[in-house]
Amino acid sequence: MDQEIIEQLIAVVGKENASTDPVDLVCYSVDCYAIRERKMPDIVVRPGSISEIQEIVKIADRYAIPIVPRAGGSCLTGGCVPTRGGIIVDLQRMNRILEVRKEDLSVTVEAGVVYAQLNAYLKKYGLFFPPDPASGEICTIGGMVAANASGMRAVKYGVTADYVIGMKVVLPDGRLLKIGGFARKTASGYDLIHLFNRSEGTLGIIAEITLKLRPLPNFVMSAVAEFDDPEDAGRVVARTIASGVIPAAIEILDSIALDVMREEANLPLPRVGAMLFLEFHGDDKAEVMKTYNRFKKIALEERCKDIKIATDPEEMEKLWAARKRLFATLTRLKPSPIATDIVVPLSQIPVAIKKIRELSEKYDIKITTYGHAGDGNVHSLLLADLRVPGESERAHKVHDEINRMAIALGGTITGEHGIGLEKKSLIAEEHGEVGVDIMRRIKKAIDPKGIMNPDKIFEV
Amino acid sequence: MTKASSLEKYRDTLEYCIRCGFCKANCPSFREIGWDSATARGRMTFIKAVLDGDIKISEEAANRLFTCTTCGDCEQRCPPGVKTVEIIEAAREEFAKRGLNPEKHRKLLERMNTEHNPYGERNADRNKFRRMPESTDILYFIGCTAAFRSPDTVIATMDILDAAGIKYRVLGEDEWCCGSVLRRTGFIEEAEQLKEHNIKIFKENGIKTIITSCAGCYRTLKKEYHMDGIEVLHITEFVDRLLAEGKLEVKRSREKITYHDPCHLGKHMGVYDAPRRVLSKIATLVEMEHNKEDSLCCGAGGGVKAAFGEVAKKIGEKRVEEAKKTGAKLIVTPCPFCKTNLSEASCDLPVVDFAVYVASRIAKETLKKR
Repeated sequence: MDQEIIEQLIAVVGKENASTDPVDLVCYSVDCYAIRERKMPDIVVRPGSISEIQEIVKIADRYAIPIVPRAGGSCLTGGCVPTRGGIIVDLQRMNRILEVRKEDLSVTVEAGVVYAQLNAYLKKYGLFFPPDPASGEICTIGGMVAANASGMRAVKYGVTADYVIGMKVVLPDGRLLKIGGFARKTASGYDLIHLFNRSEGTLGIIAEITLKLRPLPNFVMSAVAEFDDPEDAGRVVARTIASGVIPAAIEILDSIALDVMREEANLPLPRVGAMLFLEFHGDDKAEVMKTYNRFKKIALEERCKDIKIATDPEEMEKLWAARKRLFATLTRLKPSPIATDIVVPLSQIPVAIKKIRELSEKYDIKITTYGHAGDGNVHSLLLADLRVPGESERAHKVHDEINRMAIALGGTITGEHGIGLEKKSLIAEEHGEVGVDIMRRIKKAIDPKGIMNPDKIFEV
Repeated sequence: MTKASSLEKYRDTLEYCIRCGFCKANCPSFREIGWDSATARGRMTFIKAVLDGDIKISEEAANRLFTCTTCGDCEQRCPPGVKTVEIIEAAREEFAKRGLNPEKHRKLLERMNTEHNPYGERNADRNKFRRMPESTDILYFIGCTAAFRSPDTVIATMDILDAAGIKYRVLGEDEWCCGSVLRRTGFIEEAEQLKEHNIKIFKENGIKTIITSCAGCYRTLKKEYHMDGIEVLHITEFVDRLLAEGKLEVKRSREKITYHDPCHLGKHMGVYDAPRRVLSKIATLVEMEHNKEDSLCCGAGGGVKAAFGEVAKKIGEKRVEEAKKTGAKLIVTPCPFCKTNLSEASCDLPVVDFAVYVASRIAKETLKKR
């Protein structure tokens, strides 16, 4: 990048908020994805306002320089790393909670607000933003919108996109697009909010977001259920949801996941084939117990070994915290794991679990299966070490086969991580050539120079 | 970087940092500096890049490396269990060998070489605290900060021990710096020399128990000296034991206080309950939002106060702000270094050393018995 352009960018954000030093460039060349060929950006800038973002984007537009928006940097698919140099726009300075409207059950935030900080702040209003991604302590609202993130509570409360009612987006030519406001529903014009949701930074920089909120539940109760066979656990999940019993969270964990949590996080977990961790939300104990008892009946019909209500809230909090850290903790087994993020129709959860076990044996890759089974989001982690010859290739074959299975079952290859670099070779298989063609046309209409987060989601 | 690098042995471990970012959540230097290179995952990323020869050691890299307070918050959060602090300290050793460490750290080493303490004070001045009674195998290791910057901590600790009727030695000028600050700033070989001297003196004096009133000394002596047959206790643990055994009695007041966990006592050594048990017996203890394992660093450690005073002060100010929200009348902390930094960061909320606070509450009955 020309020094003159670098000077122009520095002039926008100030010297202390721009860096071309290799120590920063290398840190912004990676996210949580095991990228094979790291590419450095030319510069990292840290704007503090929408107008600064606009100025940066105008410079990028003028010289046709790639821009990669980024904040928490917890992306699992290479979505926020550069592929051809250019500018990283780090939004972590834009971390203000701008306005809480208690009566409207809404909040407006800058993109760099961290999920956990937002909910900690909202507590005093008796409100919360539910999706609860595992990376909630560090991921930002902007990133959540860009990937349509969700997590354990999505089964009851839905995903990020269900809560976005307003947005300010800096378009690739530097103009500011304002979408929506505080209305909780609309039938007005094309649904631009959902266009920018899960756009992964390829259409513009999401700078400000207005979210709908929920009142905090009055009564919360956790429970755990033990099984010999993960497929039984999967069947319980499918039957539970299908019967209209909706826990706030219903997480499945297989024996490998349980072993790691027991040993590394020092948790008193039994040695069983699988467990379900559940959380129930309701107005009072009676309501929650009614839901729990309906779940219990189904679980016992499906060979559940043991089921109990958590009596020690502290212990349960530790379990949930360990569950959130599970993906990264599993790294202790192999250093370069590959995560899958498929969603299958509820009835197909046991089928998916069975197939994943078969693939593990076929390719001799250890696989652990866990996830937000309540909405069909079955994560599996392919435990691989890229340094072991052939292991990476085998793991990638398993990865592709699991994703193809999800498509064949009528599901999707990603429920909450996004496509990024990791899954773009499979996007046409899920959406078809026509689907990808329409996406390309949308991309070209909004970003004709192709500067916004190039090489992500699909090839232009 | 050459194969001889002391970082080489961490090559495999570094593979296990998958940059999940859980280390960012409570990192004091990231909160202050804001760049990803000021997080543990950033530091692991650029240290590996240096090791692989992908980037060169630069002044900016040194800045990022030496602004870590080595509080250990990242390490206790790290799901893959990467020994982040150990790796950062090994990298500091490499940077120091190449002269790419802060000048203030190099000056600190010069002072240490002549006077065996980081402040460059006459080490013989420690003799004013010297006590060499016969027939005791207990030592009070006073530490450099208390000796030269917070003598009230030394006096108070001795008052407590005296009140409980403990016979103990204080080595005077034979006590050299424990070496904590050198270990944290990359001067490992020099720290080893201090350790060898101190262990030799401990043996000559037949010491079986060492009491420290400094969190940094405690961690270093207990974790890094590897001394068989010598028990190391922090004054918080020792007072807790004295109270339990009825050897010390304290007066209770309703004064509302809050407690700051020094990282070297808490996160590094897991001592959380003993100081709280003691303080709960003499005052009304209220917790800050971040406490125990989640406690926020004061900002001074890891050589940050020495080389980046402004960063240390700003981190300290955040901690003081949190303390103010509790409504406490003062902050109590059992580390003279934390005390110094928090005092400098605090305009109106007093910061009191643990030993000083306890000594002021010793019941007259205990004193009379003696």
